[in-house]
Amino acid sequence: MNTSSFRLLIPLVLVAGTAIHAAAADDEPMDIAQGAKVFAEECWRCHETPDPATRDARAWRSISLHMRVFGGLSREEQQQLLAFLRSQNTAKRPDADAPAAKP
Amino acid sequence: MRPSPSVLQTALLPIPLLLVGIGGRLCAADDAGAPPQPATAAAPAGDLASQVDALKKQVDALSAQVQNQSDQQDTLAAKVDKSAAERDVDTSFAFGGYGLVEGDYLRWQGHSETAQFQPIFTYSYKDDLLFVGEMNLQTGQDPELTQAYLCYTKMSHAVIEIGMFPLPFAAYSERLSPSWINKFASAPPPTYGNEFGIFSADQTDVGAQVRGDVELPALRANYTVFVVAGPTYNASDGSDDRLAFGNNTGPTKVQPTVGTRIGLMPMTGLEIGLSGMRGEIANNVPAYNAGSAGQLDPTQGLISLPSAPSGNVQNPNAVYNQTDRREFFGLGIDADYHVGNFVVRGEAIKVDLDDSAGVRVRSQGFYLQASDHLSFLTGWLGGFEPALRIGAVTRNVPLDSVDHHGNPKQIKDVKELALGVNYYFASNIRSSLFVIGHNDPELDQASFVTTYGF
Repeated sequence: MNTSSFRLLIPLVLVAGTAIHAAAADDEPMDIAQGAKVFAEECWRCHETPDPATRDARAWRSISLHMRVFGGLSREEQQQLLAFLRSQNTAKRPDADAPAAKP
Repeated sequence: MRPSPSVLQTALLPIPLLLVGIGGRLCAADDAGAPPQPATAAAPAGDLASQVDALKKQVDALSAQVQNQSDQQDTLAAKVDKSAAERDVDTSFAFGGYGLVEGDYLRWQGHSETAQFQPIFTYSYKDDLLFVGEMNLQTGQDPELTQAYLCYTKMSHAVIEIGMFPLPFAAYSERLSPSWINKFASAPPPTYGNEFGIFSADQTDVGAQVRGDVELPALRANYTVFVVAGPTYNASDGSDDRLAFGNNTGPTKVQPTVGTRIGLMPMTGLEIGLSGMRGEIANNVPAYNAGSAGQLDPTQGLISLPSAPSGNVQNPNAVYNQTDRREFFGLGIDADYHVGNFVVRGEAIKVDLDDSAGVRVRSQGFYLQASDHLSFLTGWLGGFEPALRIGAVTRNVPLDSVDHHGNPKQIKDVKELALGVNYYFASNIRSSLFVIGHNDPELDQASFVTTYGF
């Protein structure tokens, strides 16, 4: 492998590594889907459904535990709900938006 | 680890150089394959200059693309790192709650205004422990810690909870805050929050509970089993024999209160709850008020009154008759049903107790409430939510009260019809206007409440 090829390989490896990192940090799609179901069916038993973008993932963690206690949810349902809130939160939060591409 | 812009630029730098090289070789190949041309210096020099310009533009464009991709990659990596950091920490904390301003008008008592701030703190550790604290800061009242409890949440289908928590007896007391969570911004008749309610105060007490969910083949269910210190009478002079939880702070010999609630969800949107509790009332009423004159005992620290005009004078050092056990038990059923934004909920409660005079008192009541958030309407009209509530409380022994002239009166059976409308400026900002009519006009009320949830 010559020097030029090695130079080209470096960014490819780094980009692939970042993608794997991102995939590992994401919640399972199945959990997110189940969490959406929990969100739709359980939250409004007591109150208006909140906007997931209003809290960060860390806050939703303790809030979802709090709602598990009140709503009689299982631990699995709480984790699914949290996965859904995280996914929506990352997608909607203003500070999570990517900057526009430079011209 | 992620590639830095400088690494990327260094790595991708050969691309334009290769393009320049390839372009040059192609030109050279074209030159080699073509028939010999007369040596004209001006034409090739002009072509070469234009090719160089074009290549320069391509290099500039490629550099811009590399820079853009590098910036986007940095942003993505930062989001991933932040998201991972947020979810991987052991501890998490949230601050929520609501604040409100309320104006009430009662027919003979005039108007009153209230501002309230109800912050809620939640702190969790590794999805295994949760601490919840809630305060009530309200105009005209001292700051009050209304809830403080610790939950062990590591088990799959059960949570252990200790501390001061709202009683899971029926649904309203535990789940529904009148000004915020409930669709009607006032307390329904059979609960606390009314001078004629079955309970005189917020049903919050100190104790422990186990709660969780049950997976059944055709039915979802949840359960709660609790034990708490138990209630006292609302007034230590015996003038209000309604139960008051959370005030039993002294050492008593009464048995603690135990209770349960079973929630059944046979279909999506419907929950039916069955509740029961049984306990003894901590005797905060001196024996003097308990019955015959023979109980007027100086050794109990009571002041002997020659005429006993009201029977309510009490030695601050009084020793209450702790062997005088007074039993109570309660039953409740609650239901909640949603279809779209249409919500129907209600509950019925019955409480039997031995009052401070030894008389068996039975109080029972219900409420039924319907509301519909008209979000199907377009524009600002979609923020409206009309609400209707009916309710009643009946008791076999009347409650002592006073009328608007200050004269004693008794409250026995109360019925109400309430109409209201909420308007949601946002999902967490709501204004509510409502009127409540009773069979006793002195209880009629009109109110306006604006609440901000956070």
